[in-house]
Amino acid sequence: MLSAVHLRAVAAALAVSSGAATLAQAPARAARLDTRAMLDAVAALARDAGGLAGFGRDYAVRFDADGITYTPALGRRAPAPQRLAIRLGSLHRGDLALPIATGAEPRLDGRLARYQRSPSITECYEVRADGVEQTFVFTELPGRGDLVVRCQLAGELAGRGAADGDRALHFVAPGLGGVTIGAVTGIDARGATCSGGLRLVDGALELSLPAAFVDRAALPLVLDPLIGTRISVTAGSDDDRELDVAYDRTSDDFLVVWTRALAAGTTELRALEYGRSTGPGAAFLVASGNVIRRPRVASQNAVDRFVVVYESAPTLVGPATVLAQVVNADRTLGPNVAISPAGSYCVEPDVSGNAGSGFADVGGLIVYREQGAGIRLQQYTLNAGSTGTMVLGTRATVSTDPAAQHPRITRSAGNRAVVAFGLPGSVVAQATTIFGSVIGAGLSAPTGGSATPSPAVDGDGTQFLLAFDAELAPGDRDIRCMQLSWTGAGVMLAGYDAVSQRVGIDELQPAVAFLGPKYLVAWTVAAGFMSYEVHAKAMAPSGCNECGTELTLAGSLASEVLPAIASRRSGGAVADDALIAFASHSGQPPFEGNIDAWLFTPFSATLQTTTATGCGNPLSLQAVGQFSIGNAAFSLRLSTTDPNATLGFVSLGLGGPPLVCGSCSLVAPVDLLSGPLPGGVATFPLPVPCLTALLGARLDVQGGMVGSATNLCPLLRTLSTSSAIRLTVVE
Amino acid sequence: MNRFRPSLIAIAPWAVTVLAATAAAQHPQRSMIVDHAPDRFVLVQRADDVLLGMGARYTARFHTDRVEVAPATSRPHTVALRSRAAARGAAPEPLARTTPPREDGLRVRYGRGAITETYDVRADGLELGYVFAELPAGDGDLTVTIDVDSSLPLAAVAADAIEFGDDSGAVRIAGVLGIDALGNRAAGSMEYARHVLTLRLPAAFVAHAALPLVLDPLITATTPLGVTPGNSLEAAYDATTDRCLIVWQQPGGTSGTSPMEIRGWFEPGGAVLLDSAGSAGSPVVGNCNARDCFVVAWPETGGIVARAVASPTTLGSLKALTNATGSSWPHLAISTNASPTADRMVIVATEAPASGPASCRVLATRVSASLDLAAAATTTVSGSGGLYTGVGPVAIAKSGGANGRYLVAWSQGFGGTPTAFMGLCTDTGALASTVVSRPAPGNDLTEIVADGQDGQWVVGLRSSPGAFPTPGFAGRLHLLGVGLDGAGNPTPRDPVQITDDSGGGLLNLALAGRRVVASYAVPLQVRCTSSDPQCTSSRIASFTLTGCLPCQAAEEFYWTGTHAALVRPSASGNVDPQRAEEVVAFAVTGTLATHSSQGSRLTLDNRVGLVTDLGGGCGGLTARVYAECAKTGGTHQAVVKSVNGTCWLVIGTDRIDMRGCGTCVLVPDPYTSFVVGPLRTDRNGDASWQLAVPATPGLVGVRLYEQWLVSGPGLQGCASFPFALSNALQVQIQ
Repeated sequence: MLSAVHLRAVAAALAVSSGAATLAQAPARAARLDTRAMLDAVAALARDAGGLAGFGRDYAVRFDADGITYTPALGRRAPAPQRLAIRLGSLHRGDLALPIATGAEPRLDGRLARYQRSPSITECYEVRADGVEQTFVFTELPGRGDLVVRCQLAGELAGRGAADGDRALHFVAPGLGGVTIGAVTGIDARGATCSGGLRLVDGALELSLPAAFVDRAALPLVLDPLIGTRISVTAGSDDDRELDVAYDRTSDDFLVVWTRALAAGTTELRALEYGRSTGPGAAFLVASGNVIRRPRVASQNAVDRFVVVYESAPTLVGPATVLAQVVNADRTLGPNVAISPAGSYCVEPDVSGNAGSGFADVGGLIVYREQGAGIRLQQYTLNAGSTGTMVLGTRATVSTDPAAQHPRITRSAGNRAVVAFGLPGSVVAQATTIFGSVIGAGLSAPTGGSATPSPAVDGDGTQFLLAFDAELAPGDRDIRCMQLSWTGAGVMLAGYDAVSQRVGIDELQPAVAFLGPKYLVAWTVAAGFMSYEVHAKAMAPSGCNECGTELTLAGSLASEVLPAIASRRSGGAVADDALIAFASHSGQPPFEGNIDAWLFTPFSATLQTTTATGCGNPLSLQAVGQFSIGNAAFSLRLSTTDPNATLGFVSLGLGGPPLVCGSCSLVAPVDLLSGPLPGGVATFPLPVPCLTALLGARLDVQGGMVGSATNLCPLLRTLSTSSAIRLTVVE
Repeated sequence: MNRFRPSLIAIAPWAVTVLAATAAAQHPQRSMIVDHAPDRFVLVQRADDVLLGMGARYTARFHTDRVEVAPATSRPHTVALRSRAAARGAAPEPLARTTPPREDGLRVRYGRGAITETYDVRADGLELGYVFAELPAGDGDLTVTIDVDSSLPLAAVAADAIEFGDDSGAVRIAGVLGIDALGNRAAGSMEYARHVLTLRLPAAFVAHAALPLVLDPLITATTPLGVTPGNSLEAAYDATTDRCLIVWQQPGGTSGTSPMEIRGWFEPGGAVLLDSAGSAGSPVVGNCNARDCFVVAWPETGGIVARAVASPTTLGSLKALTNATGSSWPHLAISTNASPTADRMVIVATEAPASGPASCRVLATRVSASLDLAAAATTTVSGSGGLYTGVGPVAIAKSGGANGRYLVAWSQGFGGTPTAFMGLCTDTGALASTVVSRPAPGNDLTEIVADGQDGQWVVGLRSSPGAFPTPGFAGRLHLLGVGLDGAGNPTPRDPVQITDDSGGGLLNLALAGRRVVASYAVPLQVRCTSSDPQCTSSRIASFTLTGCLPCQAAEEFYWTGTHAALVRPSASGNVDPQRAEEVVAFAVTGTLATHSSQGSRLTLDNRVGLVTDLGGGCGGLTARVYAECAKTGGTHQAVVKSVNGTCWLVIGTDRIDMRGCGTCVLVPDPYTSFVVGPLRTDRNGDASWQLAVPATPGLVGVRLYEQWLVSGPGLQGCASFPFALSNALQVQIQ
């Protein structure tokens, strides 16, 4: 077996040989997702207490017995929602009024909302990403003459209608945007089409098809305008803001949740599945309200559910309450649950899920700040049944200090979690059980400044990594890291270092995820005024050492902020990769926002080349795993079919002249790994330390065995060797 | 489900009224400083060589040969009393001729040999006493006969009382009592016949009485229900001496057809008679801080007269500020001058000549060290001819002479539209700006008031939607903020209605810190009809100075009455930070049957938000930013002033302190905050945004960060960012 001495010797030698690490050849560890395309394609419709609610990229829509209410998502610069409500008023064929039933509740059919207006007339709305497509389907059409549909209009935009010829009606709030109702088309059963009329008559919307077409149309006949959001050219409206992400092992989906402002004081909390192998999946509405902020989501692996928590308030200043929403495996929603006590003002929630898969692994924790009262902890349990009911358990107090802020909780820690929060000039970590009990002594560590840091924390239940932003001077925050260990009596500081400490540059908003062999830290770096970048770096599982180079994750707009990480491990998978998501914003008011995401894997593929052939009997040397820093599981596997081979070894060299012996050449060893070859196979662990200084370093490895019936090397008469391989240390 | 419920965030103008009426009341702390001042009024004072004694509802003139008692009636009436004789038995002895009356504090004495005739001047009446050091000869009942000459008819006679009166008021003499030197008492009686009043004590008591013996009836004056002393209360405050002067007009003079006195009450200090000439109109009072005195002005005999007064015994002489032209002066207002050195006072008045339209006149005078007033410089500020019609009510910013500028406002018809005109004048009375106008928000303009200083004023209007005259209180009250444009001219903003459609009236304003406090009356429809102007409920509410949005909820503060005065304890240009949130309110209070007045010092709820300027402004922006009324139950208002450009407001609970653009620091996190805009500025170059703060105690302590981004000519933070930044404010909800 490889001794520690061997490891250190090889690593030191590698470090010396590598010089300045270069990643020119390193395979990418992070891959950007096309979130723009994903979000542009979102469309959702589901039933809630008020009827049917749905959304597309730039709008929200609601269907109830009164009809449809369409709200373009104009962003927070819109002082109030600008709505257009459409209610079917009458249907005429020539002078004949067709009997219709109004006041009926719509029926949900996938992304269709259907109103059965009569046995032969169906009013239908398809919720699409770019708008709502309204259709009237007629299976019988008595009478003769033009077919005219008249709808009553209401809402803030109702009085703002303007015709664009016969092609469209625009309902626009000046400077903000609005709604467009597009051209009417008639389509009969044979596929024949005809352009219809579209106009405003006495404030009502009138859609029509000419008699000449209708009289000859094969039934069923469809009348089909499109209602879409018209976005003001002068100011965008992509007002996606705060987000979080989690992973579920069973579905192999990441779930991204984010807030979308329809107007100032009108917000939706939306969600989108992203299948690791299948790509974008279903979108759905998690919640809507006045001001919804700080969504956080965690996975409950055993019951295949997600738990979303968020702040909800009637105004910007509050009073905010913390609410939770269970997302079932089929993406239906469980009952909405109030987490914070009635009458309190609670903000900054965070939630831990449960990566366990056992029958009892259905509990989790929610942490939040109660204004003026400190940090609270709420235990919850999910009902394993189909309804996904959340049952609230113990409520505990983590801190009574009213100055405590920014609580965070671990997502991957199993039965022992850590809550971290900031105080002016210090960061605090406190262990808790999954049952909501605060256990052991907390740890309070000074940050070196007087500001209140924003921490992030994750870990495996025994070891934890806590990152926080420490303000050294105005405009100079650094990302610091503390390794914490559970001692049985509390959390103990086991390591402390900087994740990033650019002088005179603000670095803030850390996020942490435990990946297994590494931690992943992402944070925001000020790159200029109205310009922030999201950076990410892998950290060693202990000691707060960096274990990878720093990545800059590009976004779709000028500024990237608020990174969030979902490790697959936190969702129950035995896997090391993660999704990093963040918000991108434009650089000028109103700072419109998008969501961006990158997939991250902690180890790059092994980079190896064969530098020399072997000699003697067949002997193979294979790299097992990625020769990447921090890969403690990396090994070299030696195998042969020679039954006489008794001892195998691997020569580790640094590129010096090979040793030549007869027709054999052997990597000049700086170290040798050796061992018996039972069954012709031996595996030699070669853990790669978390030393970025190793990156780019080359290690020549060559296997050898003795005992063969060959005699190619006079010095070692039974020697056979494998091909020599040159491994390059990558991330 | 109402799908079109308005957003809680955006405050529609119509909602302001609702907010004012429904927001949770944060009642001001009230400490009463004077209770029933007119009812406590009592004074003995010489005026024009006549010794006067005054109580709340009467004035007595003490002549050598008689005492005239004038009740506070709307018509001049007196009841003159001449003591004729005293007797014990059948032979009356004429009372000795008297010397002129002498005052001793609140007692007036006539010496009549062995008998002393005394009058104790009390607030509730005159206590007449005949003090017998020796008794007349004889052994029968002791009687005193008094000749009575009354302009009031005899209304009632009883064994122990007699009353002269009519529907305008009455004088009552009652309660004959005998008290000897040992304190023994006996009830007496009275008789009245042929203008002779006989007071009588029974012989049995008199025979054993220890001398001196006092025969002691009480003379009181009454006024009918609804006739209240102090109907025209005005008040001012002097910061140096920390006292108020309350002045009012009261019937009580003996000359003219509608005799009126101008009375005052120093609190602390007591009563003062300012004028008893008999034709005084409603007075106004302002403080002259430099002289530690008050200047009281009122219309009289076709002109305006005024006098300065520093204490109940330190009065300047009466000064006619205008010639007696025969005009009437139906509206009058006076400012305060809180400068510690300036001795000028400015008055604005409506002059209504006998013929022709009324005009708005500004009068400026000076107060000498001896409290004499200088001749007034007079300026006419209203327009005339053409489309102009006559001037109605007038106003001047009561607090406001900072920087030597006063806002003057008046109501005047223009082109058939009732219009509020505004201009600035100096403390010499000269017009110092362009006169600007604002059409009334209704079809009339029946009240106008103003307060403010230093480029920030609020004008209050009462205007009715219906045709004039509108009965009762259908006139709605409005406030409009007034700023200054770049040329130094006043620029009124849109009026904000502060009462609901049932109306209101008797509006009064007082500046208090960054707010303006309004007192007004609203109909009390529960108890009586809305058309009865006496049947009102008074309210006090505060509003933000810039946008006139409700900051402190309207509250019912007094029952049934009329606010007549509302004054800020700290004065213009001399703002006492300790008093910034205080006002003094005086009101006629009580029910119809028990009218009286109260004066209270109101310490307003001073929770306007803890505002910290975090700096960070850049890019050539010189605008001032304000955060007003950041309190639970209020409407927080973010304001940027004097901007030439397009504004965005970044307001949120997270800060990011973004740097990298010269000296700019953007404090609120623009990515998680509300980003409101583009907001265009008004004519003043001001932009603002409102946020209703729920009345939830848990919000106390919540911090908001707010900062303005402004684009426009010459405004650029740095090459990469075409916006200038205002300073950032940290606002902590209180």
